Amino acid sequence: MQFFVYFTISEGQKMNPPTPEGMAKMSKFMEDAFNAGTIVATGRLPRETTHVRLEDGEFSVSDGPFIEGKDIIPGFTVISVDSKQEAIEWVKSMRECMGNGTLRMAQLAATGPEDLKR
Amino acid sequence: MQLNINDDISRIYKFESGRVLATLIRILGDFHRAEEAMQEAFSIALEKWPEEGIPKNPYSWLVSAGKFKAIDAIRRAKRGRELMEENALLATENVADADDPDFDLLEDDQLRLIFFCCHPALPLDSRIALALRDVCAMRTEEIARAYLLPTETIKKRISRAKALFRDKNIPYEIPPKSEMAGRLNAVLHVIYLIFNEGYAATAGDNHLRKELTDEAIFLCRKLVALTPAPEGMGLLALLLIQEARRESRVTDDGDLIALEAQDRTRWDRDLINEGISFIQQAIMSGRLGPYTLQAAIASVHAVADSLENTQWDLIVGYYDMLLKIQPSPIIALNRAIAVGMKDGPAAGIALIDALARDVRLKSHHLTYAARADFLKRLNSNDDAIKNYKKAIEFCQSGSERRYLEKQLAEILK
Repeated sequence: MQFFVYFTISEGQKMNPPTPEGMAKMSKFMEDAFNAGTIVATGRLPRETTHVRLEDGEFSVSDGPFIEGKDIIPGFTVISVDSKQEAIEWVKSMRECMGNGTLRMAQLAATGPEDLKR
Repeated sequence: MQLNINDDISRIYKFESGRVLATLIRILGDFHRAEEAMQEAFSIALEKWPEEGIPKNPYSWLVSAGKFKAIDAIRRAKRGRELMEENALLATENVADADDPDFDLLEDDQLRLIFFCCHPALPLDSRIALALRDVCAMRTEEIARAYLLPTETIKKRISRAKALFRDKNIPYEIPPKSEMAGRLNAVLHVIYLIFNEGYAATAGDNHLRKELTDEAIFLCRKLVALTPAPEGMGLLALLLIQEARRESRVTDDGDLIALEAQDRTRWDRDLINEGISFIQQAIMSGRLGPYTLQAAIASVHAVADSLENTQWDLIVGYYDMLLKIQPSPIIALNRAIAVGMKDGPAAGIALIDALARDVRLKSHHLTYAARADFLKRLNSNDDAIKNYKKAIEFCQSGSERRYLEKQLAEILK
C-alpha cells in the first residue's frame, strides 16, 4: 500500500532551516529508502499550478493556486510499504531527521497499471 | 491597445524565444540559421499580431514562421547541397505543441540548448553571453549594459562561441549519462556567475543589478523544472535566499551595509521560505552538494532576527560539511569567522592566525578584515587599525574597500 507523506506551512510563517546533523541523517535515510524501494516519488508542490477547465465543449487553460487557502505543501514523499504500522515507523524516522514538528500521512487509494492486470 | 499588444509580444519573446530557438535548432540542424529564423519569426509577429491578434499557440506559430523563413533563405541560396536540405526540411512534420505526443521533445530541446550554451569547451565569458542571449532572451545591448561593457565586446564573445562550435564540431545534444554530472556543474557555475555579477556589482543602478539576478533565477528555475538534479535545487535555493536580502545590503549610493546593520524586516520572507523548501527537497534526494550546503548557511542567516541571535553552531556545522566535500582556504576562513561568532573573538582570531600561513590567505583582504573585526570586539584598537589598513591594501572591490575605509574611520574617531 502507498502513503502520501507531507507537511504544510502557512504562507508568511517562518520556516526553519534544517540542522547539519539532521541534514546528514536525512540524506542517508532517504538514500537508503530509495535503495530499498520504499520511496515511490518525492518532491514539492508548487504554489502555482495550471488549471485545465472544460465548460460546454470549450477548454480553457489558466494558471491558479494549487489549493485555495493559505497553507502550502513544500515537500511530500510517496512511500510503498506493507502496513500502516510500517508507514508510521518510517514517518517517525523521517521526522526525527527533521526535528520537532508534524508530518502527516494519508493512505492513497490509488489504482496503478499493475492492479488492472490482476 | 497598441501598447498592450507590444507588451504581450515582449512577454512572449521573453518566455517563448528560448523554446522556439531550441526547437528550430533541432529542425534546422544549425545554430546560426536557427537564430536568424527565430529573429525573423519575431519580426513577422511584430508586424502581423497587432492586426491579426496573438495566435492561440504563439510557440507553434513562431516555429513554423521561422521554419518557412529558413526554407526561403535556403531557396534564395539555391545551391545543390542546400536544395537537398530543403527537401529534408519540408519532410519534417509540423512542430510539437501541447496536444502533440512530441511535446516531451520540447523540454529536451530546451535542456539541450542550456547545455549547448554552457558547453565547457567555450570560454566562460562566451558561455555567460550565450546563455543570457539565447536562454534568457536578453538582447546583446541589454547584456552589454548590465555588464557595463561595450556592445561590441559581447558581440565578439558570441561570435567566438559560434566559431568554436563550428571548428570543434561540438554536438548539439543532451550530454550522455557518463558526462552529465560534470556538464551540469558547468551549467550551474554559469548561473552562479551571472547571479553574482548582479549581486556583487555596485556600479550601475539597482535596476541593472536586478536584471542579472532575475535572469540567473529565471535560468535556474528553468533548469530545475527540466531536470530534477539536487544541486540545481540547491543552487536555486541559494539564489532565492540571497535575492530575498539583496536590496537591504546596499545603500542607494551603492555602499555595502554590514549584515549586523541591515534592516531584516525588509527581507522577503516568501522567497526565503521557497529557498528553504528547495533545500529540503535537495536533501530528500539523498545527496548533498556544495550549493545545497551554501544555501543552508544562507538560510540560517535568513531566519535569524539579529546577528547575535544567529544559530552560529549550525553555520559552523555546515562549514564542516562543506570543507569535507570542497576543501578551500576561503571556506576555512569563513568557518573560522563563524567559530569566532559562536565561541568569542579570541577563538576566531586563533583560527584565522593559523589559517593565514596559507599563501592564498596571506594576501586576501578577508583575512585581515575578519581579524580586524574580532580585534575591535576585543577593544584592541591599535591592532584592529593595522589589520584594517592591510585589508584595504589587498581589497580589489570598490564597494568593499569603501566599507573597510568606513570601519577604519570609525575606530580612528
